Amino acid sequence: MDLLTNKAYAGLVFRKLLDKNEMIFLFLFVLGLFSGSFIVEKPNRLAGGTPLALDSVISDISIIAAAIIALIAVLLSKKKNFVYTNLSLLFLGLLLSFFLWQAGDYAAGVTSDNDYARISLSYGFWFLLGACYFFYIYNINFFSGAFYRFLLSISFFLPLTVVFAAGFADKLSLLIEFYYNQDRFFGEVLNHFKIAYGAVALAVITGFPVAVFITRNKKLSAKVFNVLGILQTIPSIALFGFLMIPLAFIVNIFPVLGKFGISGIGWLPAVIALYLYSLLPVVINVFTGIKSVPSDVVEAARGMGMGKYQILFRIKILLSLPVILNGIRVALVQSVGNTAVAALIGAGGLGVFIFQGLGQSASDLILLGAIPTIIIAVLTDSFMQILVDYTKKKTAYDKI
Amino acid sequence: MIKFENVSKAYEENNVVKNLSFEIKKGELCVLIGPSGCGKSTTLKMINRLVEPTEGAITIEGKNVRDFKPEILRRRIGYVIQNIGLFPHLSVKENISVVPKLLKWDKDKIDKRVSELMHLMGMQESLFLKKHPSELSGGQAQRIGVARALAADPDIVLMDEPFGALDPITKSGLQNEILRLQRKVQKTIVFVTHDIDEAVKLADRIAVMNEGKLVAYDKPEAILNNKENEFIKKFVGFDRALKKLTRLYVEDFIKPYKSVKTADLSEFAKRRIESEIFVWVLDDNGELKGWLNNDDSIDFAENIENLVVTGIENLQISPGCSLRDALSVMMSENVVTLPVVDNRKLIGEIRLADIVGNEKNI
Repeated sequence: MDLLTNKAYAGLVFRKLLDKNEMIFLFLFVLGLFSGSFIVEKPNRLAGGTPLALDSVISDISIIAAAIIALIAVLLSKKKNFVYTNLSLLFLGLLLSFFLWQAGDYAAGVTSDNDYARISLSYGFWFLLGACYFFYIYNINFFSGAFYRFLLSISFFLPLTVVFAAGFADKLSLLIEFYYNQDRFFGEVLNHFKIAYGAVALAVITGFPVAVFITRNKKLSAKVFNVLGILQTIPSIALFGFLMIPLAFIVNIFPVLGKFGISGIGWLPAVIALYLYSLLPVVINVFTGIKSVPSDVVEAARGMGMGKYQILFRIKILLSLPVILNGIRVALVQSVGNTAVAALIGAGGLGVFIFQGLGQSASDLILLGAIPTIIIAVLTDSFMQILVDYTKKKTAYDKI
Repeated sequence: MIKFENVSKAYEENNVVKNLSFEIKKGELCVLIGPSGCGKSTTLKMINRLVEPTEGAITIEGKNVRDFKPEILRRRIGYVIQNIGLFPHLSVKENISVVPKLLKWDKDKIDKRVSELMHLMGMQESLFLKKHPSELSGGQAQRIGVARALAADPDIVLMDEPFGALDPITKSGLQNEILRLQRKVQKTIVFVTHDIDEAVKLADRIAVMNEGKLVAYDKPEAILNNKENEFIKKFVGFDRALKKLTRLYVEDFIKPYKSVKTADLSEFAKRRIESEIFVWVLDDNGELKGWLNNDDSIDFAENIENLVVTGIENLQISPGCSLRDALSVMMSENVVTLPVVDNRKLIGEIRLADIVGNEKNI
């Protein structure tokens, strides 16, 4: 009985000390520390390798120190005070960069003996990175204001960036793939942006007037949303495939189009498909945004002698900006992700590396495509979120 | 100024306004009143063509409103609505200058007009002009709503239950503000409400509506005195006599008073005026200090100043208050006479007998 109450008491204290998210972080972090596979050593780029645990890269004492530092970081962040949280995120950033640097160091040692040998980061490292990133996202949400968040992000990401920039990780397989593909890499990043953002830009330009038009027509709006909803359910690969047939047909009839790079495959079907996907979030958000402008504001505008278009441009659209921008945010993030798939039909973009890596079963080449895609999506999301929050503040109808 | 001639409005089969004919005179505040769904708001909105009549004509100074382009017409008519309808993304200043901007006034003229209006509404420019509507209280926001309606100096202002959503204290403050403003600017105001007290307080003329028809159109006193029409009788309620008191002001019922200065108290005790039950006691500056019961106790008092009843701030009433306010104070303080104080000086007194027995209140 005594034992039971003691146990329950200890559990209570523990729960009071750490909340759910902090426990998830520590759990993942410890899992990362003690997983059997921190890095993988391969005799060459394509061969299978032997997993190495963290203790073969750094000393046992360093591992224990890392665990303690992670715990300290959690405790520091508990106050939700800017300086303490900043310090906490800086500690985690430094820890991650230490792991990366050690892995890079190990890789440098191995590759100097054997040119073909490769060291890849393995799930132990990704667990650690994922845990810390989760913790960063969780904590950053306690601070409103773009400036504070920016400073916190710097503390977290700067140490990692320094390790990469200083070349401490250059001998890791991922970086070797990067240097090998460097010429193509930035070109494909640019392509990725062009396709993903271009499709959304088209969707905004054409979807906006359509959305505004259907706010006045209930029957028509229901039909439009039906069509866009069905489009949304078609898997992206299938849609790319569908588009090949009519496009190839058109180019056959008008061969001159081929000179502009138009064909059944390539960037055009990709942009068309992504454009179709982007239409739903854009149109639905413009529509609901404009519909949800309070009727008394519109009546006041009308009563004061504003014309139809003055009300639309000076009142309705401006007031629904937060909702509209949110739709564009969703469309952009979705489009960045889908663009990776578009490499299948020769559209270019970061998906090129992913599919090449898949073809060669070179996992680090896959990551070279996947990681930047995720980074672009996350940055796009954060940037758009800042815009949404800003316009929300500027158009607040009630007290904030 | 605004004339309705056989105006009707029907939505499909439903007649909202039926054969309405009346004229609102220039410079008057006309209140349209009636229960929900009586067509009062629709009537108001037909003036600036937010609603188009199915039959009949509305003319402003002899010109049919249909001869104007709706937008042009509306820019010449001020408009205030219940939920204020300030534009949340614009600052106070931008909100006020919407109509002047639509009329393409130049910047200096707009700036000047905005300051003028802020001054008129008794709001400090430096404090409010840059604020957004979300940072204002309900009362402040509605003041800005009124300022916005007055921005282009329209002859006509339409108000659609402007104070409906406000708390009673703010509401009463804004009503007084409207009365004060109206004395200054003399606009033709059409004011929709379902609150009979508000109507009686503000109106020069009341149009009572029921089921789309005009039941009566007359001065507030006449509406309150109307005992023949069942609907009006019900709508006004049993306290019609009390309601009439809101139209009568203390300043018209002031009676002369007897007072004595603190310094003269001992002198007063020696030669009392028998006819008075009490006298007001003033300090050397003429400010009201209290009262002294004029009874036999004075004769035996060692220190007469101790007999003065002080702390009577709650009793003081200003000449601008209504008789209803005065009556309310009398009842809550359990007295029959109140000192009337203006600028901290005693200017007279008001008695219960005068309120109850006034000829205007039969």
